[in-house]
Amino acid sequence: MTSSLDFEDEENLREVLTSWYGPTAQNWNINDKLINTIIGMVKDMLDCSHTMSYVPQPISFGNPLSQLARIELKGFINRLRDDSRIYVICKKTVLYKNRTTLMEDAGY
Amino acid sequence: MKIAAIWALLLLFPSLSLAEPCKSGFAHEKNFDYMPGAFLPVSLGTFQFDLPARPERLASVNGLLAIYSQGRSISHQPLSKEEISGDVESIAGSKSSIGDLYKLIYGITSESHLGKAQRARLLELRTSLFGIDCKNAVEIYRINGTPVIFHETRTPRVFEILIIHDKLIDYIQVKGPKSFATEILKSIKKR
Repeated sequence: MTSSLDFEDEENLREVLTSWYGPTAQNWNINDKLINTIIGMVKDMLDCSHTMSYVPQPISFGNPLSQLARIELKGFINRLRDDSRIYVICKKTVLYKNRTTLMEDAGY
Repeated sequence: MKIAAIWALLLLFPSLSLAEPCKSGFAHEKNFDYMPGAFLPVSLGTFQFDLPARPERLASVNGLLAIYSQGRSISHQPLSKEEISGDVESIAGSKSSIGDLYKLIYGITSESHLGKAQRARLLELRTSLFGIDCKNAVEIYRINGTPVIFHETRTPRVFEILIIHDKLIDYIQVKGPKSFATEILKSIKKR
């Protein structure tokens, strides 16, 4: 399975995943399913942290990737590196609750 | 016009339609009969559970991931206070452990000692982050005095089993039918 991202964005996303889950994420297969899961996770973190402006718009129904312009997806990945507006408990809880789904998306 | 406004609110804030704080308290504690699983025991320090069948794949990543056919899986992660950093004390009070926080979140201990702001934060966490409300299936058990939570979550639809120690939470997540998750729950015992 492949992703909608170019090589540079895939590497940037892999860097974020490694900061979240440790070195094991370095070998994860970056694909659209995994990106969709990550977008949902970030939305959950932000719902919890009350900072909706951080989420790329518009995301409403269906597949978020199909609604995002490529340039917005690039901006979203860049903003993932700055999570200073997310409460730690929100971030960590979303991370552990979604770890299995991400690992399955990544090809385990 | 009013109906359109309500729909707009529900679309913007879906948690409004799902969250229903429990005014009458949470589920009462229940008991279950121990039933060993058919495959390997998994040791979690002072407790253990059994895998119910031979998995297709096993992964060891700061815990365990056992993958089965038909989208079923069982994973275990140990959660410590470091996992959620300084937020524990800001919500549960000073000198609180991660176990204290989770007992508050799942309504096992009273929140009467908390201030108004801490209670508001706790309620927010329950509904927005942990997806706990009166419509949710949260069951509380005790094994040798240790609280064990069985929680069916809506998004994602998984079964969470939490063994709440003082300084550590054993977090088990099960994907699959409820009967599959119940097998795991019933196989938990103190070692």
